[in-house]
Amino acid sequence: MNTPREPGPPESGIDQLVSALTADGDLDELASRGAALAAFRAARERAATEQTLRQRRMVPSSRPLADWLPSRLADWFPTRLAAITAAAVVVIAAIAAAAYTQFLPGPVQDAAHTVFAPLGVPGGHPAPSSSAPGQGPAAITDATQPGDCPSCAAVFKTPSPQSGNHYVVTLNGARERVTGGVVVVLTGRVDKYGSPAAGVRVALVARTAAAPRWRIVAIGVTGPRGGFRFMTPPLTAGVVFRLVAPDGAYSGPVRVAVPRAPLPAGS
Amino acid sequence: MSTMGTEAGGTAVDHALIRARSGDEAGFLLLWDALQPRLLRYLQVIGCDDVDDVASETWLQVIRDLPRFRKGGIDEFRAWLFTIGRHRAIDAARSRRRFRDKILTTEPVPAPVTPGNPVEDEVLQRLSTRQAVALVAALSKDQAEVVALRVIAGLDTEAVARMLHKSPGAVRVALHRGLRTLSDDPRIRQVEEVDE
Repeated sequence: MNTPREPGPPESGIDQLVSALTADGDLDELASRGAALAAFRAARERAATEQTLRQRRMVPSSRPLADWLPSRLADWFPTRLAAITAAAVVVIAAIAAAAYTQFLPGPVQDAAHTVFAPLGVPGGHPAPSSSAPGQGPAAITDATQPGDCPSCAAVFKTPSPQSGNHYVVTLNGARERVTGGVVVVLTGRVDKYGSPAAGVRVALVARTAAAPRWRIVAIGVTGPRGGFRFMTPPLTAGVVFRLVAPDGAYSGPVRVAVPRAPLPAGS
Repeated sequence: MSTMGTEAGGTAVDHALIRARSGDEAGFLLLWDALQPRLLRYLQVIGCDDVDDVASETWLQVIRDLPRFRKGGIDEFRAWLFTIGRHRAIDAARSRRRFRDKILTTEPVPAPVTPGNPVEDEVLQRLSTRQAVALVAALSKDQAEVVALRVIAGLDTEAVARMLHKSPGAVRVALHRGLRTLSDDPRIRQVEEVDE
């Protein structure tokens, strides 16, 4: 007991006060003893009941985890596992959303693209144009038109890449090598006079080693910040892509290699 | 001395706490007997209206959470108990808006007696617990609570400081001033004069 009491006769007024304050309880003060004991018994019985129910829930046939997990851990597992799973789903969804809107840093965006490419997550941000510094990430056009289109069969006659009169086009592909049948997402931005060119019609052209002529594989319109995103059809062979903007401007090439699958042994 | 006196050696109430944790009724009752009177007095000092109800609620929470009280011995348990009691008292006061009722200060204090009275008379003139509680409750709110927690609850300075969100130095100052105010109180002086 840690009280500022100084024992020893004669007892001062403060000592008497302390003695009175710390005296044993009288009958009035201990009157609710029976009620307290009843509450203690009830709590103990309730705890025992809960323990029994918990053990019944951990029957091996219904919960095989209880066979090898300690009881406390097994009890902890379902609730916490559900919470952790929910949290993980939220985090993954948030990352996917951020990747989809290109809010992630370049390397992270590329990594997200690798994982979420089937969902249409683009690759890293295109390198900012020297004529449009500090514009931030380009918005994604919502008018992209991947894959088959009426003009896909047209041949785009582009002897060699060059910049347009007023347009600067950048094209990025997050992956340079993919396995056969994988979809590649290409992103980029179109600037005009150093500012993002919104609502500009662009075309993605491609050629393969077997067909050296450029063919339009998709067309679309840039978004409010000059951005665009194309998703290629599943690739079966190496392809070189370019993006063509008005006034004959087009981007540098983006090469995507598709290595041939190894031949089966013995063939 | 009270039942708490047995804990000076750190055995009886410590063991009672261990037994109570494991569901032993005798251990719980020993614990309750030792701490319930002090809890009631503390609640009276801080001006709680429904002392018995608040104490009951406090013990109900203690009983419910006792299996989860694993850290520390009787000192930590005592701090835990009085912290819960304080919170329940604040809750009750919020609901009733009548915290810090000074009605206890009207508790009668013995009148001076002439020297030479029989021993029985002198015993009767000693401060009763109710009167002592009333004297402490008459202090300022801060001093009264510090004196109650240090003297009645038996908490150390650091525990009181944590409980009241004060520095240990502030607790020591409040305790010193509270005890000095009490020693200067004419009713305490009357008791001293009677003793002499």
